[in-house]
Amino acid sequence: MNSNSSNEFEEQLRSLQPRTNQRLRDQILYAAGERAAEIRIRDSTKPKGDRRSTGLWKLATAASWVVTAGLFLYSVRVSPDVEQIVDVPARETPTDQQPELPERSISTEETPRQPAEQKMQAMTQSNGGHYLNAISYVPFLDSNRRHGEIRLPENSLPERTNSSTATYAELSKHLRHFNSHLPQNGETL
Amino acid sequence: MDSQTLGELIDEYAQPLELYARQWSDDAADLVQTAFLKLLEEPTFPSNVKPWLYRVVRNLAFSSLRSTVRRRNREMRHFEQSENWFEHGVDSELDGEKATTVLLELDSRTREVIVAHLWGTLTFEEIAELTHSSSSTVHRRYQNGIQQLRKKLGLSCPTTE
Repeated sequence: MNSNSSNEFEEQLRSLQPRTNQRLRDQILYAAGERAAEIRIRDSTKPKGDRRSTGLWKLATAASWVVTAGLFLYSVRVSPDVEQIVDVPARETPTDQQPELPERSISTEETPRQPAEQKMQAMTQSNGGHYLNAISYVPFLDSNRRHGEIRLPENSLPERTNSSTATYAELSKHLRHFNSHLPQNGETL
Repeated sequence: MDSQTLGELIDEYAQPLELYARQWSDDAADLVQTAFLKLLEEPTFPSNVKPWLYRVVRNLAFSSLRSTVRRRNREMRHFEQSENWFEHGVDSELDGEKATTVLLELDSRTREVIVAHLWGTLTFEEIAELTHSSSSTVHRRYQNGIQQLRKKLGLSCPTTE
């Protein structure tokens, strides 16, 4: 009884006729005719050996895409460097500031201990034992150097007022002490 | 496909397809026409053309609804305007306009199952494949929808008789 009632209700619903565009059939057939004509024309004008249908054409198309993608990725990869190069001239460098020197390692080979000592000894003698004139030839005391700068321990050098009267023996002693702070056997600062 | 075959397919499926598409689109006839043109361009004729047509119409309708908001607004407009989905003057005990109103009050997934099964004569299995759900879920939605329609149309529910 219940199922019959349910089926009757479904039948009543189904008896409702969906509203439709009365000319829909003609419209579809007309559009289909036009589309079929377009397809026939397209097929008839398409040469048999159409290059788009060949494997070689597909391969060339794929290769061109790969090359394009590669160029794009390469450009993306190198663009930061290019930007950096372009930006360098635009940066403002203060005139009173020395340009920053590239950092480099300083080994004992670059600054042999013995020649510097000999050089300072010669300068000390030629300048009447003036310590500061001699010490200025030590390459690591270049005031322009920001990288690789050697900071001497406190009290490693005599007071400036006393340095003018220092003897060669005292200078040699300080120099040895100074050299002990230099990089040894290929060490870098 | 010749024009005669196409005409027979249109006679058989266009009307329920238009009702099916009307759930989501104001341009239901255009969607149905596009679906038949796609059928015409198919290199091989589908083995089961009826579910194929419903799937194409459904995809076209959903594509026309660009966003959920737009879809919701459109459904609300459908609900407010309540354009009659059924022919006037047809010998039926039910009022077409009222049936349209209560159909629009149903949940959209329930309504889709009702329309596809009752007027589209799709099986529950075909609807399940169309809506990406299980046959049992589709059947449950259908039974639930029928009960809601009976209640809203003022008919007593068979389970309570």
